[in-house]
Amino acid sequence: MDAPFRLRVLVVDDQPELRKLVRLTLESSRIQVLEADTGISSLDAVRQLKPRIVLMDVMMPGSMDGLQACKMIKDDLRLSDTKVIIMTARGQQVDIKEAKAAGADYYLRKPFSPLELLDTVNRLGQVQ
Amino acid sequence: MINRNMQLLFDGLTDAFLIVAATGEVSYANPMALKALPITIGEHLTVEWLQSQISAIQRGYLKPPLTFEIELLEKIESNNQFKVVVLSSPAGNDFMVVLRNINDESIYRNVVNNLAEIVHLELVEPMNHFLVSVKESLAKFDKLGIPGLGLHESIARMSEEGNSLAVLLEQVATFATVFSSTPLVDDSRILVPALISDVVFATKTLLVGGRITISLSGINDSLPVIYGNRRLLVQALSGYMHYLAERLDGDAKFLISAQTKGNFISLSIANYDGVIPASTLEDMLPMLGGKHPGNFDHLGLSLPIIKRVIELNGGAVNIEERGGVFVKINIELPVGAPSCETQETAMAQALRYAEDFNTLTQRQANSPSQ
Repeated sequence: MDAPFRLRVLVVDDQPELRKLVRLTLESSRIQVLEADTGISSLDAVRQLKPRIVLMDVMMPGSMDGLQACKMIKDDLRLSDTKVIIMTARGQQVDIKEAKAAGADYYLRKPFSPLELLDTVNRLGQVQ
Repeated sequence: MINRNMQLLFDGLTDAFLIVAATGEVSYANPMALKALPITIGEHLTVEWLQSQISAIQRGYLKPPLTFEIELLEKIESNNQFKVVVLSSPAGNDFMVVLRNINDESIYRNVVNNLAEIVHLELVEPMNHFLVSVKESLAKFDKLGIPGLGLHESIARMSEEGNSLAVLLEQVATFATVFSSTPLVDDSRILVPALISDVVFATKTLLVGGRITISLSGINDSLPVIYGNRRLLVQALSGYMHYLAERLDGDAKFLISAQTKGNFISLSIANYDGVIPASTLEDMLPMLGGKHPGNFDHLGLSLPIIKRVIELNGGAVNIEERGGVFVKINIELPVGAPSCETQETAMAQALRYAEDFNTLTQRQANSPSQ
């Protein structure tokens, strides 16, 4: 019998390929991966499924981008344990500043290494 | 042999991707590569321009990653300008080749550069020559002292019209030059309140001079983010206000408002005071897609260019008239990010994964309890 998952992560990205890569990287380390493809749907998933970590893309089509969704999560007191990792191809200072302003706990610049992803998730996933 | 999951990923990309073994065999090609190049998986690479580059890397003449552009004529009928990147495989002596279609990007870059050049060479310079000729003719008439016949007045009027046309053309050439270095289709993240703040700032000369007053409605942080060219949008909105303020009979009172309409955000600038002369409206409507005919001499070409840019960003511009005394410009822009960036990011991400995947697999195998 497979060992139970030790951590639950929600990956939010409109690219199914990227969600697949994240799943591939994390699931073999006993991390459960949930998926959402828009900022709006990620909020529902976070509120209902309470993942420990949200891996959030910034640029997504629809009425809420990743930074807005991150801010909504961080502003919700019921979700204060949820860590948000912003994933983005935009790596300029202004982008990092915007991510910090939205309350992000970490910033992964695309393309990121699966090793970096796993290490970051493990580090942020440790219960304080 | 390519990992099955990696193959699934590469198969879904719109960029062409292939792996060439050190022996020259094509060991993998995704559907886009098979479409773009005359290659067969399992057979030797016979694409000469690519073979020569790989061969040069193998002999040490070139160092990967190698980037160059090429026009493919073999299998694709149109959109055939590609950027090619040749990389060494992180495992073994294979080569990974990525081809991205950059045709559209080149077209827009060239359109703007060419516009600037053509306007200057074909229109501005001949117009300046024409004006010099007119002035010389006028000087001759003055010297000869030929009175009456209305000829002198006609030429003077012609000179004046030619002058304003030359100024207009210079402005267009300047506009095209200024924007030739920035992408017409941009993906800057724009917060609507910050955009409107820039627009108001850009009209400060009108505000300080008391020529206009501005009211805001619905501009707040809860509006969705838009992605586009902030500089152009500021130019469009403030340029429109300048244009209208100069032509109104009386002071202008503008209302700038924003609201979300499904997957679009609607920005509008309405003038709710001051009478707009019918001739101004007649000029504006055809430029922005209205039904009324009219001549374009007074408007300049910036609004049509901006209209096109907004359309390229998935948006639309329209103008409303009500009995010739009320006019409102509406710019609708899609909310959220454009999806055109996703394939580029996906390819870069896939390559980054390919580099570290073996290490990750080994690490996971050695740490089963992690």
